[in-house]
Formats: sequence, structure tokens, C-alpha cells
Amino acid sequence: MNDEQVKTALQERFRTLRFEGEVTPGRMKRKGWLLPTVAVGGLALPAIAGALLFFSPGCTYERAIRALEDAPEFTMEMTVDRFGSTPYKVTYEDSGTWHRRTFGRPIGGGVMVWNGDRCSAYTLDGSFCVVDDLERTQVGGDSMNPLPGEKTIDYVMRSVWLTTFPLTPGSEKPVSRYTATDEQGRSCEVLSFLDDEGYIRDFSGATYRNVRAAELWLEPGTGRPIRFDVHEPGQAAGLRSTRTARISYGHIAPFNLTSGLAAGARVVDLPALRSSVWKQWEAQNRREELDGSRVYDVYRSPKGWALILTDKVFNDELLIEDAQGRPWSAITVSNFTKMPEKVSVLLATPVEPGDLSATTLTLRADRNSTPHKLAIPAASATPPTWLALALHPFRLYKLTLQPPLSSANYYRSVRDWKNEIKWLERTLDIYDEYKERPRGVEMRLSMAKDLLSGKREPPPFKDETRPGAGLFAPQ
Amino acid sequence: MPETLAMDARARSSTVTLPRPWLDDLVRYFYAKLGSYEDAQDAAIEAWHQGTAKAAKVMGSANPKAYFFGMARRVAADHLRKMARNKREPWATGSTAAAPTEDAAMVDEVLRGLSDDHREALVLAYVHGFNHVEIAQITRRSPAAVNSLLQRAREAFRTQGSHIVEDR
Repeated sequence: MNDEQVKTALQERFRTLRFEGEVTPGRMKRKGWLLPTVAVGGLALPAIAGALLFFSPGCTYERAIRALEDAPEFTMEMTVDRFGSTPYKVTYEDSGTWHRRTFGRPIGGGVMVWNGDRCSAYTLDGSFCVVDDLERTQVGGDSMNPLPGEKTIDYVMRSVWLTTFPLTPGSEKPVSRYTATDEQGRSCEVLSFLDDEGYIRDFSGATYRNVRAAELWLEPGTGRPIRFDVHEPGQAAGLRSTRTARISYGHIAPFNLTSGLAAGARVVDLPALRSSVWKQWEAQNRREELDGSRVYDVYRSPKGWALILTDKVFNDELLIEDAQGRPWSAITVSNFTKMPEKVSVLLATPVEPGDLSATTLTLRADRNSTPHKLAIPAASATPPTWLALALHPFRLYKLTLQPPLSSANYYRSVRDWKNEIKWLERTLDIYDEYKERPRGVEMRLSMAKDLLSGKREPPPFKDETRPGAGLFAPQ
Repeated sequence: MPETLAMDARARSSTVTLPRPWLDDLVRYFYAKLGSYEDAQDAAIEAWHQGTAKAAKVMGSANPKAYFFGMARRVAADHLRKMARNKREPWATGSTAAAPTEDAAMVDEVLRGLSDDHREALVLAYVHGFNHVEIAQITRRSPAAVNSLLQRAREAFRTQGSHIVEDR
């Protein structure tokens, strides 16, 4: 075979390859592809908030494209393939140009709702996640494409994915499936994942570093995730780990997404939904005045933290203390200042590990304001709907499900303290993605460092092993 | 950059366009790099979009097509990284475009057996007609390195593809 034959063979092979789409000024799109498995149809509604899409079987990609052409500036559609090998596809329009992106992870399918500065993703089984404040979203993984909106979409997609199945960019598919019996004697399907990139993320976006494998337990019948186990290096996959994150997924879906909707249609107007929730709370719950603002509701997490729903974004001057005069720190973890119903969620925690059983807190907007006493209810493991609506699942997880730390842990080994410092620094790194640092964590870190360096003496030993004591805990 | 200059650059970019046949060339190039027809279409769109956004700069360069393919090569690298993350191999069996003839299918088989560098060099030289200097610019190698790479690529193609001639 001489050079000429090589050349001829290659030219002959590549001659027939062409771009199959059509190019028009300012717009470019692929055409002629049928979506596999459950096909997607698009319906774009020029609602105030933005565009809504819904899914129905039997529609083609072409049809979805046509529907999207009439949509407002930013819309999305995706394929649906549960645990299949088909990657989902995302199409969005930005600045008059079509982009089609293929992501490597199938998702459970769902509805995307875009409303300007917030985006929400729903899965078909009714679970949902809210991605707030997209400008501040930090995304790992597929971040090489500089197109506007890319990170946003990837993040939302990832969130949908994480909400449905806990996977990492490096382990998109379960490597094995088997059946195991849970504590209630039910036979659950277990999906096992191997980590090859040094970390695994669970549905909430929480990252587990230095793990070897993870297992996802699915509830028999519904297929909903009920448990997520991670295994540290050295442990064989399939064995229970001491570092097991048992996650209740129930709080992700506090309401039925499809209830009240016409059969077959899966359209959700998130702002309207949220608005109705706020109005409901406004009507049914107490509205305590606090220096000109209202406190709609207070929720106490199982860890003893107070989460306050208010209509004001407090600044750093907000002073909170318990009945004994011990200071609490407060941080705004979510706010909807751009919504017609301005609401914020304020997280109040004691500055140092202490008595979390306080039934009242005294709040002052600043040092000169009148003290306002706020009753704190008993702890509940079920977050109210407004909390799930207001918080990203990651924060929800952090605020409600993280294990507590007993202050008896002052008396621990140096190695344990060093581990905690590492863990606290990692926590702050994670919070830095949201450009805010919980003051309590910072103080805890400072205290740990002071204890180790001998600058500070530990307090007298006190057994505080009851649930709900403490702030953040090493896992 | 002063604002007026930036506006001038934007204005130029909006009027200058890339030759449409380059889009087909992109598909061929990405097919050689990725070995998947659908991925090649995707990558071509992406590279075309990037090139269109910088059309004035591309067309104002000394060798516009080589410059544009240099940009496309980075897009290909991105796609290869994504494929690696998704545990997909370029030129995996079953991912290639439907070959219109038996010969085309055999060429695909030969290409599958070549290294990425060899495939790229051969396609740039024989399908797109770039000379050694242009390939050097695209692949960021020296012309001498391109020359020896092409020699090795041809040899590898001959070795792998000898049965094409024998079968004829």
C-alpha cells in the first residue's frame, strides 16, 4: 500500500461525513434525532417567571425543538432514561444560538423551571431540589465550556441527578446491583458504586472524600433512595461501614408535585407554588413583630438549631442570646428578596457548644433596639415545607441531618482534635462556595486550634451525650 | 482594551463569517479524533460557535484555516477528557458512523487500530490537505516532528491496512 493509496482510502472514507444540521445566521441546531427511551416533548409557556417544560411520551426531538423555538430566552429539555446507558441531553437557547450538550449521566427525568435568577429542578417521582442564587454556584467537573449558562445548567443537571441518585462525575454508573435486607426486613435493591476520583457525592451535594465505594439502597416498590452508605479505603465494598450516612430522603419531597395537576401534565409554576406556601404561612401562623419586621415561623432541627422564617434580611448587628445570656450566632441561609413575598431563613446556633434546650431566644436588631423574645418550639425531625422550599438540599442536609457533637468531646485525643480541625476547615471550604462563613464554625475552629496549642483550657468535664448537643461534628 | 477598540472588534466579528465548508471539515476532523459520529457533530457545533465568535481574529490570522483548526483541536481535547470521565473510549466499537461501503468500513477498522496522534496527522495531511508547516502550527509541534510523525503514521496505516489492498 503506497502513500497514494493511503490518501485515497482516507479521502474516500471521510468524503461522505458532513455536518447534518442547518446553519442560519445567529442560529444553529441539530436536526433529525429521535430521542431514545422515553421521548421528550416540550411546551414552553411564556409565564412571568420564565419557561416551563413538561414531558410526555411520544414526542420527537424535532417537536421539542419547535416548541422551544417559541420559548422565552432560556429553556431546557432533557431525555429521560432511568439507569439506562443513554446520556441525557440538554438543549438551551442563549443569545439566539442553539447549543446542544450531552452530559454523561442519565437522570431520573423531570421538569426544569427557570425563573430568572433561580432555577429549580424536579424529578418525575416528585422529589425536587431548588438551586438558588445561580451566580454564586460553584461547579466542579464539567466546567471547561465557557458558554454563558453552562455552569448553571450543569449544576442544575447535577442537582437533579444527585437528588435522584448519589453519583460522582467519576462513577456515573452503578458497578453492581444486588439485593439486601434492611432493618425492617424489606428486600431492597442495592446499587454499588466505586469511586475513582477521590470523592463521592450524595444526593444533597455533600462530598465524601477519601472513600472507596458507596452504596445506594432503594426502597422496594417505589425505587426511592432510602439509604446511602460510604466505605472508607481498606473496607471491602458490601460491608457496612462505621462511617455510614443514613439519609432520610423524605424531607426532599414534602409535598406531592403532581397533586392538583391535570392527569398526565407535569407542569409546575414554582413561583406560584412558593407564593401560595408563603401566603399560607402568612395566614395561618403567628406574625410576631421584631423591630418592624415579621417572624412567620420558627423551626427547631433535631440538632437544636433554630431556623427562623422572617421577612427581613438581618445584618451582622443582629444580637441573639438565650435565657442564660449565652450568645448565639445568626446567619441568613436563604433569602428571597427578589420575590414579591420577601422572606428569609435565619439560622441561629449557639456560638459555643452549650445548652441547646433553650425554649426562648432574645433577639435584638442591634444594640439599641428593643429586645424581642422569641419562643423556640420543640425539635422536630420533619422540616416544614417552607424550609425545603427555601433551602438547597445541601444546606438542608447540613442543617438537619448532620450528627451532633457533644461538648464532652473537649476531652479527646490530639489526633481527634486534629481531625476535627481538618473537618472544620473543609466545612468552611464548602461554605466558601456560598461566599459566607458560619460564625459558629469559625469560632469552633479557632477554639480547637487554641486548645491544641495550649492557649485555651478545656472547660470542666460535663456529660452532654443527649441528642441535639453541639454544633458540627467530625464524621 | 479601550472601549472603542473593543466595540470595533465586536463589530468586525459580527460582519466576518467563516467559510461554510469548514463546518463539514470540522466534522471530519472530529470524527478522526473522537471516533463517534454524534460526538463529532456536537464538537463541530461547539468549535464552529467558538470560531464564529472570533471570526475576525480567525480570518485575520496568517493562515485562517490552520488557526481555526488549532482552536478546534482544543475543543477535541475537551471532548476527549469528557469521554474519559464518562469511561468512554474514542473509536470504541459500535460508535463509528455507518460506513457507506465495505472499503470505508475497513478504513474505520484500520483507524481504530492507530494511535490518536497518527490518526490526526493522517487526516490533517490527506483529508484536509494541510502541509507539514500547517500541521505543525495546529498540533504545536515542530515541522520536523510532524514529518517524522507522518512517516510513522503512514507506516502504521500501511501495516494495519495491508489487508485492504489484499482484499481488493
